[in-house]
Amino acid sequence: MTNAFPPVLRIGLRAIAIITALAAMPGGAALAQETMLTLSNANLPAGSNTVMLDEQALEDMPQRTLNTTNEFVDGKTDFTGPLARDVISLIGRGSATRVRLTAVNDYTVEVDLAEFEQYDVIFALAMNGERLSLRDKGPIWVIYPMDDHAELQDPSYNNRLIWQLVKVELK
Amino acid sequence: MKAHGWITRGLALVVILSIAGLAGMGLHAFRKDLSALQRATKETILWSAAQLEFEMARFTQALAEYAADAPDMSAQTVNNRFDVLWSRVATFKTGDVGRRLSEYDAQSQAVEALFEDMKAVEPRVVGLRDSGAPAALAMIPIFQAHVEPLRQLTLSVLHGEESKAAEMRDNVRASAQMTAILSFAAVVLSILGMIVLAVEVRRFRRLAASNLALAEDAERANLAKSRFLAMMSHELRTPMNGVLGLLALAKQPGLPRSQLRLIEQAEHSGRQMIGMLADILDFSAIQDDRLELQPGPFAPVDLAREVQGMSDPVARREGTPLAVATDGDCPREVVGDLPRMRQALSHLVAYVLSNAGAHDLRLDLSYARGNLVSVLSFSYGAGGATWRPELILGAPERGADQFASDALGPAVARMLVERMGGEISLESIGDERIAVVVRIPAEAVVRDETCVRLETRSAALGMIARSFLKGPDILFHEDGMSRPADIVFIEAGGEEEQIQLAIARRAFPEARIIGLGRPGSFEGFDDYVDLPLKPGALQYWVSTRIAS
Repeated sequence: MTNAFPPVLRIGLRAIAIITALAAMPGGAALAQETMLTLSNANLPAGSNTVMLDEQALEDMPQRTLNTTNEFVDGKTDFTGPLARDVISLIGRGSATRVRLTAVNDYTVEVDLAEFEQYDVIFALAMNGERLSLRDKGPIWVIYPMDDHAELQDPSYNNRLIWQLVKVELK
Repeated sequence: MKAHGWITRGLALVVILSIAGLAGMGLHAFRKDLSALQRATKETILWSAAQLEFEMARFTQALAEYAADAPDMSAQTVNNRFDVLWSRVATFKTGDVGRRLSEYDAQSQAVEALFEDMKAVEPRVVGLRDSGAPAALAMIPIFQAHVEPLRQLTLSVLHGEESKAAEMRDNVRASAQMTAILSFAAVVLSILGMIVLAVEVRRFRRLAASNLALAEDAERANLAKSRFLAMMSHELRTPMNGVLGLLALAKQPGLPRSQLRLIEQAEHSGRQMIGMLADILDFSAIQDDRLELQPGPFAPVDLAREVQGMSDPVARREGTPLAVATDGDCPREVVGDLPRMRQALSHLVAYVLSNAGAHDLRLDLSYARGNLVSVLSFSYGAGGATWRPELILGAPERGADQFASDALGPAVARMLVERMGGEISLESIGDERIAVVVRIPAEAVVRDETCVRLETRSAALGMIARSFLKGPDILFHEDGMSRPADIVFIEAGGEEEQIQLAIARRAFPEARIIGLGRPGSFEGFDDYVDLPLKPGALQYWVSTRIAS
């Protein structure tokens, strides 16, 4: 099936639709069954400081494939997904300098936003062409291009490969 | 002394290699520890093991809350937690972290047992919405059975990692100790090397001082010898001049021919001895670096003529006249030490005449690339048994006992040429002729010369004109010269006048053509001078040419 809207517009429309639906619902209850990733920015005014993205919105974004290794996979592996900085741009960075990434089991990691500018970090949706599931570090796994930069071999970056990502909070 | 040097060099090499080896070992140990440290900090397997235990507790808690109908708990949440638990089990199956964890679980197989149970209850978890609280309650004991094995697994990972950390600390400590030992050894070896070097330096200094003293002694001895030689030569020459003077006085007219011949013979021997003493003096002066050159302008033609004159007695005695010639393109004057060049060339001529049995002897002077080139060529004669080119070319010095008197002349010639910055070489020029080529740097003297050509049928008129014109600024044009004539004087009158005029016009289109005498036809002549010739009339044309 093809879509008449360009990808950026489609993502915007989808994100606006979700925000509108949220606003219309009593008590702002989330569309839990559709939302895959929640973006929030504490530095923005209330009402426009949260964006909820579903799977389709993330898939409609420009996809980047990284071929890299890490401690949790066997050999070089292809990871595909949108660039982290592109996803964050959907809500706007504002004056935020740090970002907290939260997994489905409430595990969190906090990193400098500058890292996403410096490195092509992706929110991987697929591994070796296969869609990541909750049982296999999905639906979103934060992947750093570890083989492309020697400094990313440092163990501190290993801990930032957070999987089962559900929430991104800019601070 | 030689063996000592080898031992020292060998020792120095061993020291350097030892230091390099120790440095290499230290670097290897450091890299090994660094690699181990990187691995240890990278593999966060304790975290992964604890996460499995933690997620299983969360899942069991979710089952209990679902069974108790807790308000925030749903079948979907229980399924999600089941999936998360599944993902933790999957962590044990891939990557370096999975392999390390599996090593700890190899014996108890706790994770594999959990996974088997998870696969078995998966349909029940998926269908939890339909089966309700009893089904959830029934599954709790299944997972509670894995709590203890998973705790044991976490503990074994904890203890294992602690052991590895302790092992690594020991390694780092050992490595630090090793580095300290190696550093100490390197310092000791360096100090040893410096001591050896200091000893060597002192030894070489002593050796250098000793050699310097020996060289100074030898120099002083050589100087004393040269001075003695010079003094003796001088002392011998003075009485010999007295003898020659007396012999000259003894040659009175009317002496019988036989006595006259004896006196001439004695004079010849005396002059020979004077010449030899002069050579010894020169030889000594050159060796002591006392010979002062006195360069000045001179004509190469004069040099050739003087060499010919000086060599004439020897040439007559050997029956081989010396022919000399100067190249037309040779500068009229060059700057050099004429007496020393004459002396060097005369020695060479005398040597090849006396020792090479030379005949057809020629001396050709020319000028090339700032050098006055003297080519002394001759045919090698049958009597050349004593001809030794090495004496001319400067073969290795022979011992004093082998230094024959015939070697003095060539040696002086060679040393003089070298002193003047020149060189001597031997060349074969075909037809069994040999050439001794002497090249001596000599700057050409540049003057504003007027090139004059004389075309006279009368030899007397030519000689008169030449003598009137002769001077440092006049260059007489000869056949074959590359430079064109500036003025051509043609003897006027007669049938050949016009022919010579035409030839001169064609050969020297830029030249002024002046008639010597009144021409039969003025056409073609620039002017003429009256006969008999007067010096002023000829020189007038030279001066007007310069003025123009």
